[in-house]
Amino acid sequence: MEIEDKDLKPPFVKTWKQMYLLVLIGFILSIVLLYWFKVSYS
Amino acid sequence: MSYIDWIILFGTLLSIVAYGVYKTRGKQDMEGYLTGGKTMNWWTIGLSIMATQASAITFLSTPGQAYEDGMQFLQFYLGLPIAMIILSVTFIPIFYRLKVYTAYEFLENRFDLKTRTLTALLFLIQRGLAAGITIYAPSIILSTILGWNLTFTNVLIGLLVIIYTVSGGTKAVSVTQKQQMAVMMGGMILAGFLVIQYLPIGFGEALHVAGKMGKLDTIDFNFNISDRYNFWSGITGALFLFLSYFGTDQSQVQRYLGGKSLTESRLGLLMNGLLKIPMQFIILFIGAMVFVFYQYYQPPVFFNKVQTEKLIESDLAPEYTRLESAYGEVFEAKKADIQVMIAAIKAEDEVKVNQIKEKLQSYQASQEQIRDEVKELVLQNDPNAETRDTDYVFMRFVMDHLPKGLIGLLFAVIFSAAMSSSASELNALGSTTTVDLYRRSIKKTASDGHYVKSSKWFTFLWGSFAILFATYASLFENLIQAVNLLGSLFYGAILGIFLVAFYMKWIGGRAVFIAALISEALILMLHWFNGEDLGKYSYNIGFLWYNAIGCILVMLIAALIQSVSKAHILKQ
Repeated sequence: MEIEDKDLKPPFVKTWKQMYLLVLIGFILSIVLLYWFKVSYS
Repeated sequence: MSYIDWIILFGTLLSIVAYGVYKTRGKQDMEGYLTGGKTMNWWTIGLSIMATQASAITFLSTPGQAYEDGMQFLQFYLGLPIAMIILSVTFIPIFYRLKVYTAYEFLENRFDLKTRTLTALLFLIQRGLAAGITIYAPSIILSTILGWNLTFTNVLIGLLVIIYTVSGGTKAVSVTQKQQMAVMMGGMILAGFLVIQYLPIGFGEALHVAGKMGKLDTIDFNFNISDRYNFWSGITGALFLFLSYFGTDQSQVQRYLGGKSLTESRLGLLMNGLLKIPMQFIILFIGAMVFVFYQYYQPPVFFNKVQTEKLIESDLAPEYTRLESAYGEVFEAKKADIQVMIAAIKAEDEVKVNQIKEKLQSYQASQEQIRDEVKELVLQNDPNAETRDTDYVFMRFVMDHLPKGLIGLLFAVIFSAAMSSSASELNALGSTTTVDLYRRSIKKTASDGHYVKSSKWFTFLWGSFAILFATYASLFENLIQAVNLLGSLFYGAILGIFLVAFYMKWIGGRAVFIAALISEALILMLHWFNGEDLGKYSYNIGFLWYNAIGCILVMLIAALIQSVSKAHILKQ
């Protein structure tokens, strides 16, 4: 059973690769922020 | 609790149950009951996934963990965003293509019936026991705090969940989880805001106090295999746990299989990937702020009030009073030095700050020593008493310091969390029993209505089993870790089976079936001997690593068996 075409496009960005990249950037940013948080107040 | 609190607590819980039943009234077919008729949008899926994972234990234990050990537990969630991306790319499209009701149906398609049945059984054992803990864990704490009977509390939580889960199936679970998430996060953020308001110092100063006393250590890059939580165990061991939990645990798979389309399901998972770390950060941070609060207002020397009241009424009361006043003296000395430290921070006097930091650490050690002595007294007074009191820290703070109304709301948060995760579990247990065992191997041909009815009965039976298990379970060392440990023992093998299915196409059902059995036995042995004195063969492995080890073992052993049997056939 093929997946419908509308399923293959993500919202907000052009490709799913870009969507995954966005999540990855969010993830890396949260690690940087957590590290900064630790260093600033310890 | 005041009558306003009771009204808010029961009003919230009953309206959520009524909403779940009302929104799913009428007749449902099999697809409607098991997948919610595939009508869910991405944010409903995302919230449902988050509410399923956030059990009452999350809200009871996590602030207490931050109070006791700091925020290092956050690292447990570091593997989650990566897991969400991997699942969106690999698992979900396959589940969609095959139009499955449960994750295990796919395994028969790829291997054979026995592998599907084995994996479904591993899930049922693990999740069935965990469902009992999900009810029991908050019950033991809530019954102690509210002075309720434990069995009554178990039955109350279990029955409320059974009502709407049996009646409305997957859709009822998802629609109620939206309300439950709103109650949970709204209540917690309000509590966090009030803790900060109650502090006699500014927010920036509070951060310094928490940080200097080791409560804001969110990331640790040092690699140590026996460490439970560090950056490396988070992005490897926990990554395997999350891949398995979200990709192969039906209680989660069922949440995103109810999506309108593949896009909605993927976005729901990715939303979870983006929001989970901030959400856990908020909960842990509240625990750290409660810690700062208790640097200015004397905390109880032992947080379980019932046990301290028993002590006061016993012959050990004079000893307890002596320890309590000694604890108070250390508290006052520490409080004075914290003010000196804040002044030194403002003056940017690093040397002074480090000197006070060392003094504060020694005060902390003295307080811990006094607490240990009190715990010994508690045990002397009641040999069956639980001396670990971190799970009581947050609710004790709520009961002692938050205003009327909010106390009821915070109890509603805990009950909602217990109900949201239990509902997903019962829903998944009922579906898997119906689809993977009953419909596949026991009664193969029957009407759609018959299977919906069976599904409702199985959900009811699993709910009753969970209540029964909760009633007879004894308290684990730490509730949140008990659930994660139970998952880690089984998830590795289950994930291994799925990864072989996806990526090692040359391996057949027989090889993976034997490999899964051997790996599960090895993991159970590994856990049995972990930390035991075996002379030079002694080892100590953090349990998160069981996920990775179990998964890799299945893949390696399956590959070996397949190669050997292939060579054997060629030889013949």
